[in-house]
Amino acid sequence: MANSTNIAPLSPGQLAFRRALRHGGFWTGGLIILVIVLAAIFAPLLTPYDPALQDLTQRYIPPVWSEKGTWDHILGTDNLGRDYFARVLYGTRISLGIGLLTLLISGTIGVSLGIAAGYWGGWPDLVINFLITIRLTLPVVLVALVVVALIGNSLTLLVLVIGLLLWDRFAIVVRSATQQVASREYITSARAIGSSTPRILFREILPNITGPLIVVASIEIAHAILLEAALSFLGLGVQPPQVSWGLMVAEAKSQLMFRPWMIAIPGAALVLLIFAINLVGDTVRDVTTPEGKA
Amino acid sequence: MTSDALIMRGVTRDYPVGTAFGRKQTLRALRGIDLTVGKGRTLGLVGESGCGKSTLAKILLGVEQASSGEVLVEGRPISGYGRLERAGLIQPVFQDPYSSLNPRMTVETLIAAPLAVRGIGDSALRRRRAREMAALVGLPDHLVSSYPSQLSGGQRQRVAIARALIGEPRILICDEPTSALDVSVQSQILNLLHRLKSELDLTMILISHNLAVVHHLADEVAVMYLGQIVESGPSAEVFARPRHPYTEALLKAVLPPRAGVRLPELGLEAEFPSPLRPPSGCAFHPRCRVADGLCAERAPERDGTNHSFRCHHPLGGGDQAAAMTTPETA
Repeated sequence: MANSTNIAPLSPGQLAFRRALRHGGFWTGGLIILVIVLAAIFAPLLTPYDPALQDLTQRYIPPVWSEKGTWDHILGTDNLGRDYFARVLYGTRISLGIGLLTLLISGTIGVSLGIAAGYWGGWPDLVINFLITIRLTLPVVLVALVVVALIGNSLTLLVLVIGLLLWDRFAIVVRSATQQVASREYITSARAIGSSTPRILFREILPNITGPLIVVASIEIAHAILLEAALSFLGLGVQPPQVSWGLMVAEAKSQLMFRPWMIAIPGAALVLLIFAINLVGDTVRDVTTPEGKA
Repeated sequence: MTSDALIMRGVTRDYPVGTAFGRKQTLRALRGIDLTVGKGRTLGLVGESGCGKSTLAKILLGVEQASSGEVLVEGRPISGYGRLERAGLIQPVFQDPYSSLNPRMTVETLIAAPLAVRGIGDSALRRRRAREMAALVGLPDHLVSSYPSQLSGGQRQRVAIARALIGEPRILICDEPTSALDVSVQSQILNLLHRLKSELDLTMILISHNLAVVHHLADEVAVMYLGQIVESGPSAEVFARPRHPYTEALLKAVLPPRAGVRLPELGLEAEFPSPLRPPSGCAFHPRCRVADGLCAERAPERDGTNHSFRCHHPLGGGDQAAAMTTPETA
């Protein structure tokens, strides 16, 4: 005991972070995400080209590693002579932006509903379960299609539609995690010292469900990014002159047989980002469960 | 009346239970509890698992409401107290210190929480009070910034006790405070509770199935069976001359720490009955050694004043019984 006086105790969160640092997946995934985020932020510094600037004299230049490639256009140019590297870089902004913004919406809805259902049980639980079931019966792409057809097409709308559709996993996971935590004696103890309900929900329950919450968040952010790419591919998402990886794939689909790199490059960017997010999510799951392993 | 910290009159608690086939049933966890605890006294509440002890504790803590009956705390109905007022008056110490402390909070935060909830003082004052309480319950100072997962069971229970007492409550409800702890630590925690109780002039309700603990600490004893108090009275009296056959059986089940002593034949063959389908008449009759036809038909009324019991055929209370049933507390 005497030795432990000078060692600062670590919170469960700090312990989990320490375990994460020993986890290969965290380093790999975290590094990739860091690079992608930095690339999105500093895109204008990394390329001299405007992603929307057309140059019809420079159409279909292949990437630098092929025989006809040039260092002027590292990843080549597209059918309108726009620099592909610049388009991939600026496309990162759309993907990450949509991922984070929809996460904010879907997370807020899902966590609120899940905590309410898990904590109160009874009829709030029934109503919220009913809402979850209704949400699960809605095909996401179809709903997005109808909304875009009815209201029109904008980035704000896209974020809203995806955000309002992807809260179901949050609600389901948070509900069951809350049920588990709410039955613990420290919640009874919190009530016995007179804690208000908001205090119990936000000070006692929420900190104890962060593990599953982060895991779901990582899944949902990847889900939202993929959905944006899919909707943009279908022409329902991001509209030119804005750039999105899904849009790039859509514009290049006629060249699939002749210039496969035009699809492979934005596709690879998408795969890399999703892979990295999933790796970090897996790490969080590994280090937070079972609780108190350290 | 004002000298009573706690009075319960005819308190019942029913839980609606749905069965597999959707039939609604009622689980009667408490069936007419009458109980009085004087100020500064310790009441030992004894009974098997599932007899309603913890439900009783939850009602006293205001975490659950009684279905009917009256609970008076310091002369006022418990429902008349506000959430914070009640919390300032009655505090719990739970059975399992591994689940009664939030794993995401430091010891300091845990201990100071009752003050924070009631908005007493600023955070510096609360931290100082938490450290004082930690010292009072015998927690080393360097542990106050630790998390529960870094503490032993005994240390955790000390945290729980400090947290319960920091708001200077009048009544402490200890729901099996030592049953999750090592034997060597149990006595430390019990002695701590005993010392704090007299230092702080607390009224204490000690829920336990350990008779030696109750005998050691309690002024009065109430024995519960299937949601009823079957016998209650001054601790020495009940332990020396049990009137109810169930109390007698419980006392016999205590093994003296002597070699060669075997488990006694208790005559408690039958299973503990389900509170969903309580036996007719006296709830204890299927397991009772003195039961007869009357017991199966009619529930016994409460009898006796100071030392009361619910039995058609109370045991004599003579010297013979006393010699036989006094538990050997080490």
